[in-house]
Amino acid sequence: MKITSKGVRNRVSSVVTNLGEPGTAINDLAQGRPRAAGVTTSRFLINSTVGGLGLFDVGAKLGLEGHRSDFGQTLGRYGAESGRYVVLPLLGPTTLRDGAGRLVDTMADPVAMATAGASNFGMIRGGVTSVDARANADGFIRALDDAADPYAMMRSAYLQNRADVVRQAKGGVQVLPDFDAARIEP
Amino acid sequence: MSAPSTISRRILPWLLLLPSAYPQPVLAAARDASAEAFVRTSANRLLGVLSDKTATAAQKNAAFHKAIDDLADVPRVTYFVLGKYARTITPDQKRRFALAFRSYVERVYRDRLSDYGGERVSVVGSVARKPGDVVVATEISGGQLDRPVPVSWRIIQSPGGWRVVDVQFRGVWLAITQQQDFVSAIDNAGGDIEVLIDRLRSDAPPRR
Repeated sequence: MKITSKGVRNRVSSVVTNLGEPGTAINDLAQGRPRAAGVTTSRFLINSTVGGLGLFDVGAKLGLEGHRSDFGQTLGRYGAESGRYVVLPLLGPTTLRDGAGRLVDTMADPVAMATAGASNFGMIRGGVTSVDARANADGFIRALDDAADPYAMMRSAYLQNRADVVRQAKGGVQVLPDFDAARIEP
Repeated sequence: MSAPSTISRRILPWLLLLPSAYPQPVLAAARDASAEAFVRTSANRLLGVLSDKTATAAQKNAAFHKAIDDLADVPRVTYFVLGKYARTITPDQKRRFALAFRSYVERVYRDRLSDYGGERVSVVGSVARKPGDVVVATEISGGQLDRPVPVSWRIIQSPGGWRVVDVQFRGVWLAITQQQDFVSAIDNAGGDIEVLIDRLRSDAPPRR
């Protein structure tokens, strides 16, 4: 159910994304991608100032396209396998590698460290981030309604998404199935 | 808008001092112009069908059915999504599954895509995996979208020409996901394909 307007949702999403940029920049550096870290840092500085504390993505208008990096991706970049797939209460689907990565990202988040003294900021940010994540997942949750086996669909989509995120950091071509084997006439 | 232009003029010279502001070198890859043209034309036609405000629901459904035929290799996708069960399905089950799956796909994607209107698909590149098997990268922008959405299309040379066999959004290939969904559902039913056919039919709206 959509209570807020699309414009408000977009602004909230922009602020949440902007607060995640320092963490992305650190992971870009850890992955040996200084150019990407430079873009992310530039975006954070521009969007936090002329972008009205991240409300508007001025960086993208200047040609600095955003991206997300996380520590699970960084571990994958250096060869760590995803490990067992699990669905955690409140946190949702993850793998051992990505769950550990999420923990590290949370512990080492520069914005959280900088605002540690500000009462309630972390709690409000956590709440807004969760609502934003749920809004962004709305299309996928509707897709689960149409699935024959929602658990299998969620597992497949999550693992493919994470494999693609790691591939973006490592480079290389996608391994795709052979459709020739499915050439059966109806 | 004047604000971003002013900002551009003031900030851009400073950004140019950052190494990150320079474009990254693009690796040469084997692009396929005919595959790119096919996706550009067919995908825009499909979006155009859905955003046609003048058509009745019945006209829209018929046009969407035709657009899917022109865009996708339906028989190939139909049996791909059955995975290992494509080898054991009987001819009668094959016929009934094909009908149920086609109806399911049209209903699901018509519903999902009905949120959009006025978007355009622009091709940003392609990679020929092998002759007759190409992944075309596109961006969908405009309309209801706040920012461009990258979508990749895997197309294969079929007897009728280029046809789409899979679409990737946020790293997720739809046909691969559908295959794992269906195979798991059949596995859970002890290998009984009838359970899946009934499930797909039960979701279909009543015939008028």
